[in-house]
Amino acid sequence: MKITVKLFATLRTGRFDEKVIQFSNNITISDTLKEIGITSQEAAIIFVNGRHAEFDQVLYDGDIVSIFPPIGGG
Amino acid sequence: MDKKEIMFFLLARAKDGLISLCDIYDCMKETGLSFYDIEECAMESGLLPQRYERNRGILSISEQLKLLRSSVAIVGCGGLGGRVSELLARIGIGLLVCIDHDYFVEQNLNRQFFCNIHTLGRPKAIVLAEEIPKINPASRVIPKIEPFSIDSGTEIFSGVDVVIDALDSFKTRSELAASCYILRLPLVHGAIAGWFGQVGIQAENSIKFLKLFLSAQGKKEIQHDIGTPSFMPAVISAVQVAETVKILLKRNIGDFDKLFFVDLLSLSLESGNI
Repeated sequence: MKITVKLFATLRTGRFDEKVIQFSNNITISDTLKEIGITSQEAAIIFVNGRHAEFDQVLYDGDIVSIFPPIGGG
Repeated sequence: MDKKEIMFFLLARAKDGLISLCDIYDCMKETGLSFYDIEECAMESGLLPQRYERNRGILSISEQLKLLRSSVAIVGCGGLGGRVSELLARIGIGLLVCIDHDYFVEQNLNRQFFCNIHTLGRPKAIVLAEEIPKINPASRVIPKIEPFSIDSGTEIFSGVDVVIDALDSFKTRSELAASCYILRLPLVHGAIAGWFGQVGIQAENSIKFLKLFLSAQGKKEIQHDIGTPSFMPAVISAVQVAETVKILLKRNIGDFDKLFFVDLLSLSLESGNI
């Protein structure tokens, strides 16, 4: 199945802005992060198709996963 | 002078439905009342203080009066909190509760609105309390020079309509989001780092941002690596204030429990439901 992964802010550095990645079935967000080399420490907010999702959420063909780093300054 | 006499005084002076700053000061001299009281009386009479003339296209007099009678707490008075306070005073919010235990230091000069050569070394909340009434004498500031905690929140937020998150760590943000939920207050979250920023609103009966902040605790926040330049607080604080005005005037149906992510490097906006 194909998943579109969108990275934001500093997560793009040395990686990509947006990429369609081919995966086998029944993968989770955690598996996807591992595949693209992002640790759970680096990812604060995940959206799947514009909705907040937990790391253990299972992905389906065509899902769009957006990953944001922790932004906490004031 | 009783209220009817004050209204008569103001109506006699008004031009095109507007009452000038000089008229308000004259009325203060005549009556001994506060600037706030006279602005309130003017708007109750259907007159608009001239300072709000350019608000007329989007705010009715009754909405401007509603803002005057509103109270907003600003938690953190640095990059976001300083600009948020300035914008809230200019739009005409009557009471600002400004909370920050910190003092202005040199590295705040790159972005913090009220930080300048003269205010270095002074408590941020006190400087705001001095400077805000110079912008709008109808806006009163209650300064609180103390770190925010869930224990202090209940007392500090008494009588407040909206709370603004202008903090700089997820740990304190979690306590803030919990306090807002306990007190059933809407929370307008804002955060910045480098070219990036985010805004979101936790509804008064929601814990969605609380959960988000708890899950982000202990993670490496990127502002420690990429800093916070001048333009980012300006952008994010403006969105926070627009959202606050919409909450106060009940115009923001649909904005709650969403997160808006702003990227000024690629000039793009992304949003999602929390």
